[in-house]
Amino acid sequence: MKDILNIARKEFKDTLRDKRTLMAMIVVPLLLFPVIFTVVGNIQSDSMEKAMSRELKVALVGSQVPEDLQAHLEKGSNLRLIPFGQDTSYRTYVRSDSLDAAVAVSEDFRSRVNNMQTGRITLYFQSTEEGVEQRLANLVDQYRARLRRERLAELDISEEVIQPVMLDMVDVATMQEKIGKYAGGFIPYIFIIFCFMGAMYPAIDLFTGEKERGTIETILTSPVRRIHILTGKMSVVVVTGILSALLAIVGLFAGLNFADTLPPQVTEVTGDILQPQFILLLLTMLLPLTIFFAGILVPISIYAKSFKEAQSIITPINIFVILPGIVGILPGVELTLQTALIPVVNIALATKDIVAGTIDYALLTAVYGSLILFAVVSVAFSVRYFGKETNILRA
Amino acid sequence: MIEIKDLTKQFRLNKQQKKKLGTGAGSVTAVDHINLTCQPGRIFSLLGPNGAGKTTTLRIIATILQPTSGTVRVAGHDVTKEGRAVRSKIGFLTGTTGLYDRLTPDELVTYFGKLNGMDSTTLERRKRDLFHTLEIFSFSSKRIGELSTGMKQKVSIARTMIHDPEVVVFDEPTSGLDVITAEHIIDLIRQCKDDGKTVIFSSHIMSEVDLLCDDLAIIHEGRILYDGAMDDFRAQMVNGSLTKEFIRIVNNAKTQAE
Repeated sequence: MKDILNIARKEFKDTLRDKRTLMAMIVVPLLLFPVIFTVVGNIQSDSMEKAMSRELKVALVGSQVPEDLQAHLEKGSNLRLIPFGQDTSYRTYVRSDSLDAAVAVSEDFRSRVNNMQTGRITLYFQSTEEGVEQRLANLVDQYRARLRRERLAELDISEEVIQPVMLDMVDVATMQEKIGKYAGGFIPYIFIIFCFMGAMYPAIDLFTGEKERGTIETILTSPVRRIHILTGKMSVVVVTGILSALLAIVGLFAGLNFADTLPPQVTEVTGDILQPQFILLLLTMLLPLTIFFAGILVPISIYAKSFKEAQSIITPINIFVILPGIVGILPGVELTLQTALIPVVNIALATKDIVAGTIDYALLTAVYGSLILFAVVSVAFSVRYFGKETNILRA
Repeated sequence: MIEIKDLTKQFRLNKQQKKKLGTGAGSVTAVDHINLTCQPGRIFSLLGPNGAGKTTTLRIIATILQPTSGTVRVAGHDVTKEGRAVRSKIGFLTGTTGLYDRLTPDELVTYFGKLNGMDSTTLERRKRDLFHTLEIFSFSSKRIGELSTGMKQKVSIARTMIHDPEVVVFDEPTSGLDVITAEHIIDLIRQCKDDGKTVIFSSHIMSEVDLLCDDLAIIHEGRILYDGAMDDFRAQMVNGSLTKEFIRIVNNAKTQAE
């Protein structure tokens, strides 16, 4: 036990002094959420605001443009109307961005409208320009509604006559349930990825690194049992994985509390989900999972001759962590006896049910059973693998 | 004391290795029924060309590798059955031994002292003596990654000797080092002898062997071609120079094999 602690302490110190590991283990998970929330939130709200308020240059095309239409458009916020008459070059201008849009009024518009027929207005725009279509269509809609009201009044018809049915939609699901359905699967998934990434660099550094630096013989000739060396090192790998997931949680909290760009409901509900009991429960599942990850990463790192080789073997394995996580987020995939046995997927699905308050405890037990079994088997494999001289000294 | 009796080490080959070596055999014999004895207070040199089996033999002594057959006893302990006891009696150093770059010499030597089960009083005293003799104090709290090769080698020596091992194993200790740095190692080997330790070192550099060793074994393709005192070797030489004699013996063995 003393040896294991000695080794773990030294390896932890060593790991914390490695810039590469620090980056992947502490800086990235801690800053990811705050950065995403502030940067993405700001950019999004900024650009949305800009799109809705910037001045639009709009061609008004046609010889029969009614004055009331022109007046209505001019009243619209920040529009510059450019009368185009019969000129047909407006399409090119819209295409080339010198105009934002064109409103073309058909030649017989006035007479048709006056005769209780339908007058045609064509809106030319580029859907790639955010906000243009929405702003102009709104204005035309308001104009149309006004004409309709005038006609109904003229014909002495009540508005209800042409609206026989009114549909009111009321969603009785709580915000917690709605967001929980997605966030419940998504939040653990983020932490699972950080557990893996946080464990990856230390695993490579602690095993392949020893080979690369030529220190493996030194540690093997010290009077410590190999299993103790392995246990000490592996526990550091597991701790760093869990630590980086914890830091991601801290980052998520910080991001939620400091970023004012998120809709308040999201902040509130995510805050409600991230209760201490929930985080503790999640950690009890992440611990065996991270041990399982370590059990995969360590034999690879023992086998690899160089950092590069280790990374090139581990990179494709990332997919096996990312893909099952996505399966867990997909709608319609539920926690069953089968899915409860698949690592990564089972955690995402179980947390979804826990958040929604519909967890089946028998299945939760199966989830823990499966996670622990996978952890035990992979560690046993690591122990066997580390015991083989050809693997350790492969150079 | 190191006693090697009828030691054989075979490595199993995988497909890739078979292809590389152009052989259909399932295994390759790195060490083939060798017998050697290294006495305390004497320097034993294992001389041989690359791939002769030197490193394999030394790694078995250091318990990094397990023998396929035969026995090796180090300071009275069997390498197969009492690995930990053997490791606590030995110091192991190679020319390519690396150190943990992100630790300081002080942290590193303390770490290995603790792994060797030393109590902190003995460890501190021993560390102080070694740092003094090797002049490590001036850089003992710098990160090892920032040190020069010579400084690193001194730290390696302190690391090897911290637990005052009875037996010291050097695997090509000066390979890749400049003369000044190599000199530290030569001094260390002499010091070990004066302290009555058992010293075994492997080399393919004849001048080094000539300078240091009391007993000599020449190894080639896993077999011992010569085993005896250095003085006897010099006396029965056919060629004038040690290097030429070494080459003659190895070549002789090759012709016989063909």
